Amino acid sequence: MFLIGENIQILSRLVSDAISSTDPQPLQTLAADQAAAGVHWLDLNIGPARKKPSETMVWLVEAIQEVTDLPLSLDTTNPVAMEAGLAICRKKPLINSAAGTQESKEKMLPLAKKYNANVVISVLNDAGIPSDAAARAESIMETIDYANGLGIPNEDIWVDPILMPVGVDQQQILEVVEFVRMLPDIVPGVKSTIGLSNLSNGVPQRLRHILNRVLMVVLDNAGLYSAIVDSFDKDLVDLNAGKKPEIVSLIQRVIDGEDLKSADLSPEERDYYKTAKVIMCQDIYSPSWLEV
Amino acid sequence: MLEKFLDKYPGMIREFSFGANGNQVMLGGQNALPFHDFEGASGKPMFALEITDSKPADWAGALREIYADVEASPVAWAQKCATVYGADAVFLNLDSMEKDLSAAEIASGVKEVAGAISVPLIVHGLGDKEKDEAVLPQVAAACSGLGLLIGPVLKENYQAIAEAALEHGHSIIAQVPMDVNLAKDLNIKLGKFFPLERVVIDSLTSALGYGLEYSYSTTERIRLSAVVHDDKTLQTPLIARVGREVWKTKEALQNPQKGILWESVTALNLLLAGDDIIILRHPESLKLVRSLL
Repeated sequence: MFLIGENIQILSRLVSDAISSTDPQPLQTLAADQAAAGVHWLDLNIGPARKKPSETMVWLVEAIQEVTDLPLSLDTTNPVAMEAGLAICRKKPLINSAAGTQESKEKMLPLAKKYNANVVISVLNDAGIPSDAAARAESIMETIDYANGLGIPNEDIWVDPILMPVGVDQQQILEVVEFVRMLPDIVPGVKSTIGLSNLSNGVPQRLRHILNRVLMVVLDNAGLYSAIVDSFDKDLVDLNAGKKPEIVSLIQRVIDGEDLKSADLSPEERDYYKTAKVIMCQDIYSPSWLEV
Repeated sequence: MLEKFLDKYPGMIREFSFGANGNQVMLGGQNALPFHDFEGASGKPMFALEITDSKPADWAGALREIYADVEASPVAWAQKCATVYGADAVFLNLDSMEKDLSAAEIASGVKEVAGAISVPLIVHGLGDKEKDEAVLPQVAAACSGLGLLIGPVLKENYQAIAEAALEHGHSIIAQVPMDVNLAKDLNIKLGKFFPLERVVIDSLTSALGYGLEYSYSTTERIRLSAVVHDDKTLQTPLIARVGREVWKTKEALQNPQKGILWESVTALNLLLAGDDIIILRHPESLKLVRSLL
């Protein structure tokens, strides 16, 4: 699957300081490092950008395009900033993101048509986040219908099922997986993406990566097209690049419902096995799931 | 034919007992959901009445009237709950920890109460992690062998309190803030040195109209995880402190009769969700819930 590097994002102190002091250097380093790590897209998250939205986005896009040829995912809730960035991207960019809310339909979606951009459309609508796979399907079909009406083709649409943290609602993981699996049947030709790291929000820092990795493999298996990820999780990038086939097949066996003997596994395999059991909701999540 | 419609579940709640000297009570052993007697052992809940070891200044007037004759003496109060009102256990709040009393004095007070009743005693600190950690181990030591159920044990102070409980033969209440994942986490941590046969989970309770649906849902999830999904770490009895939540609602404070109904309905709901030990304040509620079962 295609990986979109998430590390240039406004919640990072380094990034927000660099943006507010218009110092391009740390951001260019972050961009170059992510490219070197092997991701395929770069996400540029400037948040709501209340002050000088256009100037900020233009400045950032130009600074990043100086150091990398990777395509850009422009990540802001501010349509003014979004439009300014779209106008100067050298490669066909990705709008991150639009949704089925009235406001987004009116202000964000038309930009995808105007600039011939790719656009992330989440299953969110004015009623909130849908509760299961079927409700997600219903919401996305309605929004995509609207987008098609604006002249946006399915090929440019990247559907985001919206992933909740494992500690909030573990069962939702399976709903998301199920939704990703059914997506090609309900809206043929669309692509998909997900904010993978949100899965492990609230999870102890040292344990976050393995959860994200396992879900990536599970979603890849379900047909997910791309994911927004931590570029500096080397094992994640390696897993995606096919460099750890034995771990992928181990996770596959858990997806298939096989029970394995922990004793036969190496310590690394055991951690992946236990994590896969949590992701597939065969075990109830707790922050100490690897210690059981 | 009927068997076709019945479910068998893989999980079973651990057998749990506390108390001493012939006053032990048994809990656990369920392999079916609450009230699903037709599918297996669904368990029999137990009811404790709540008292405090210092004057209950913040208690509802209606409750203070009932206990006016005994509120100055925790021993007499505990005896009244056990013998007059027929509580299965007494739940003693250590509110004296708020005062300038030494841990040793508090602990000897607990021992007196435990020795004066013929039902098991549940002892509860303030939920303040430092104060509880300073006092509860001393209570455990002073009451060595009396088989108390001691709580709350939090993720911040479980080590010291659980170790003392282990050494002196008591059981503990593992308390978590309304979250099945955190309940599991604390039990995993405890399970490394403490037998889960002696752990009860308190996932915190809220009263009808004040967030009961959240405690219902958490309790239900824990019990489903234990019985239906056979999660070994959650196969422990569940406790709900109903009385303290109900008797601070405006409904209960304005109208004691309503308070009794409020307390009983809250309790009944939580029994349906999976709670095993229900802590009440009003003896009429105890009578009412029992009659409903």
